[in-house]
Amino acid sequence: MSLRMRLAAIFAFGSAVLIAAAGLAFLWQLHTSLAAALDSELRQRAAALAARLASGPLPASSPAGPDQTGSHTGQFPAAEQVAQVLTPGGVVVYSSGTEGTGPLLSSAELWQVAGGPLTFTAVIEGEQLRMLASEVRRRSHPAITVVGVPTDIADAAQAHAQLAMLIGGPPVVLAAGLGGWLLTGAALRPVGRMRRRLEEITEHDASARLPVPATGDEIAALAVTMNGLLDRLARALARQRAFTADAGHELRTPLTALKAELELATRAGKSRQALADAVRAAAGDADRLIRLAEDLLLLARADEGAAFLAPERIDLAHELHAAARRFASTAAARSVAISVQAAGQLDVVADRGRVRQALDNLIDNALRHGPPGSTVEVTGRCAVATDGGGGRQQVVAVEVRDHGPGFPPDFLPRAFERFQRSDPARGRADGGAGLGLAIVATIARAHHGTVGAGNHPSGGARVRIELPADSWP
Amino acid sequence: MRVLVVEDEMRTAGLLRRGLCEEGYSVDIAVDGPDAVWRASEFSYDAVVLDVMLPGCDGIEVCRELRSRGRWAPVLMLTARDDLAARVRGLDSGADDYLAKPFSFDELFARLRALIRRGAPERPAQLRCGGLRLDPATRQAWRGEAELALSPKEFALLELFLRHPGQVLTRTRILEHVWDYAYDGVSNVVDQYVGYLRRKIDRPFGTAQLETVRGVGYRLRAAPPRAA
Repeated sequence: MSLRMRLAAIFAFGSAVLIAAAGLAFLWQLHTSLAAALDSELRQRAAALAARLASGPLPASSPAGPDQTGSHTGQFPAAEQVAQVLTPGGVVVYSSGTEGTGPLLSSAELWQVAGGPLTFTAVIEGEQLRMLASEVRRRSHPAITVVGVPTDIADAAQAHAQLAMLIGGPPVVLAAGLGGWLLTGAALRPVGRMRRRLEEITEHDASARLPVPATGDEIAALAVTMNGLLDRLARALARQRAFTADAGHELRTPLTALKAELELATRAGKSRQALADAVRAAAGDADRLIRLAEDLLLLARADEGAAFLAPERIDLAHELHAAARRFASTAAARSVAISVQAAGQLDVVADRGRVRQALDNLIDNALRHGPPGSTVEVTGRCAVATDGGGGRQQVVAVEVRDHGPGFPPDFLPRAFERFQRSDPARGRADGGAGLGLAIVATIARAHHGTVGAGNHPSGGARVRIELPADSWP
Repeated sequence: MRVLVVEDEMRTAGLLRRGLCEEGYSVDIAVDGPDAVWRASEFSYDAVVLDVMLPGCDGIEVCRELRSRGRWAPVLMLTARDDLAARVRGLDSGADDYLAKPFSFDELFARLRALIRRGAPERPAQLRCGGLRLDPATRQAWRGEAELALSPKEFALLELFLRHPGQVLTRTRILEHVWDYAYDGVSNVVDQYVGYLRRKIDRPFGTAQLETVRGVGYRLRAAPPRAA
C-alpha cells in the first residue's frame, strides 16, 4: 500500500474514532441534562402537590381531562400530567386520572419510598413517564405522592441527535479520508518530482543537481541534502576517474618505451653491443614499471582502507642513518653530501618497510633537487605536537631539507597529491610519476602521523613527517 | 624526409628518433610546446609526430597554433590517453591522424608514409573566405563576428562553396554534393536554397558574395563586393 493510501486510511480511521467519541459524549451529555431537567420538574411538582396536601383538602380525583388542582401545573398539557396520592398502605386517595385508577406503586416500591424519595420510569397507556414518589405528611398522617412527566420530548430529542450523527458521521469520515488523500498527494508531489529527477540524474548526467524549491521547507532541505550527496559522489567519481586516467598514462609511458625498445632490437642488423644495450634499457623500463605498480598498489590498498602495515617497534634514528648509507653512492655520484642529525633513541611503532620507503622517497627527492656541492640535511628528534582537539602528543619528527630551488609556491598546496610534479618541464624521466610525496603522505597518515612541506627561509625545500612516538594506536 | 618529434619524455623521444632514423628519416626533437611551435615555424618538416601531453601547452594547442600560422605539415598525434573525447579533440584541432601509446613502430611508419603521401595542402579546420568563416566540427558559421543561423542543408551548401572559393559550381555538381542520389524533388531546389543562403549570408550584411553565373551556376567570390 502506498504511503498516500496509508495516510488517507489513517486520516479516515482517526476521524471516525474522533467523531464516534465526540458523538457518544454529546449523546450522554444530552441524556443526562434532559434527565436532570425532568427530575427538577418532577421535584417542583411533588413539592407543589405536597404543599397543597399540607394546606388544604384533597382535590377531587379527575378521571379524565385537565387537572384542576392548581395553576402550578398549568403550563403542561393536561394529558401529560400524572399525579397520585397514596396512603402508606397503597390505597389511592387522589388520582389525576390519566394514569388509571390502580396505585402507581407496588408494595415493594412503597417500602422503598419510606426510606426516601424514589425516581423510576413507568409505561402508562403506551406512554413512557418518569415518576417521582416521595413521602409527605398530610395533617400529621403520612401519605405518599407520586408525580410523573412524560419523557417523549426528551426521547425524541435524543433520537434526533442520534439520527443526525448516524447520517452526518460517515460523510465526514469520507471527507476526512479524501482530504487526507488529497493533502498527502499535494505534499508528496515534490517528492515524486525529486525522485524522477534523481532517476534521470543517476542514469544520464552525473553533474546535474536537483532543483531546490524556494520554500525553505523539509522538501527543500531534502533537496539540499541530496545535492550534497550527489556532489560528494561526483567528486569521488571524478577523483577515481582522474586516478585511473593518470595511472593509465603513467603505466603506458614505460610500456611504450619497453615495447619500442624491444621492437627496435628485433629489427635486422643489430650489433651484439646494441642488443646488450637494448636489453639493459628494457630492464630499466621493467624496473620502472615494477616501482610504479608497487606504488599504485600501495595507494590503492590505502584507499581501500586495507591493513597494509606490519607494525613493530623501530628506532627511527637508526633508520635515518641506514637510509643515508643506502644513498651514499648516489649522493657521491651527484656530489651531494647527506648529513644525519638524530639524537639518541627515536622509538616509534611502525612498519619498517614502509618507513624506509617514505624516507627513501624524501632523500631521493632531496638528492635530485640539491645542487652539486650542497648538503641534504636529515634530522630526527622528539617533539610535542598538539592535535586539532587541543590534546598534546609525543611525536618523532623527521625533516629532510635540500639546498635546491625549493618548491614552487603554487605547487605547495598540491605537494602531497598524486601525479603532481613540482616541475612539469623536468618530465617523468627525472621526476618519476609524481607519486613520491603522495606515497610519503599515505604512509605517514596510515601510521596516524602527519606530513608537511615548505621552503626553508634561507632556501631549499623541506619536508617533515611526524609519527606518534612509541605507541601503536 | 624530415620529421619533427615532439615528446617531453626523453626516453620515448630517444627511441622514436632511433626508430625513425633507422627507417631513413631525419629527425629533430622538440621537448615542449613552445619549442615545437618555434621549430615547426622555422623549418619545413614533412611530418610532425606530436605527443598530446606536453609541459607548457598541450599537443592540441600546438597543433592549432601551427595551423593558424599556416604550417600544413601532416600531424600524427601520439598519446597515452585513450579516451574518445581526447581523440576527437585532437583530430578537430587540425591533426591528421592519431596513434595510441604503446604503439608499434610498423604501424607508426605506415601511418607516416600515408600522411606524407597526401602531401601538405592547405586544409584548415575552419574554412574562411572573404569574411565568412565555418567550423565543420562545431557546425557553426560566422560572417565577421556575427554567427549565422543556418539549417543543415544551408550549412552543407555554404561548406561546399567555402571549399571551392572563387570556383563556379554548376547546379548538377551542387545537387550531387549536397543532396543525395535518391533526391527526387523539384529541379530548382538548388536555386531555392541558394536564395535562402543569400538571405542569411549576404543580404543582412549588404554584401553580394554568392553570385550567379548566368547559364552555368553559382560562385562564392573570394572578396565580397558591396551589393549594388
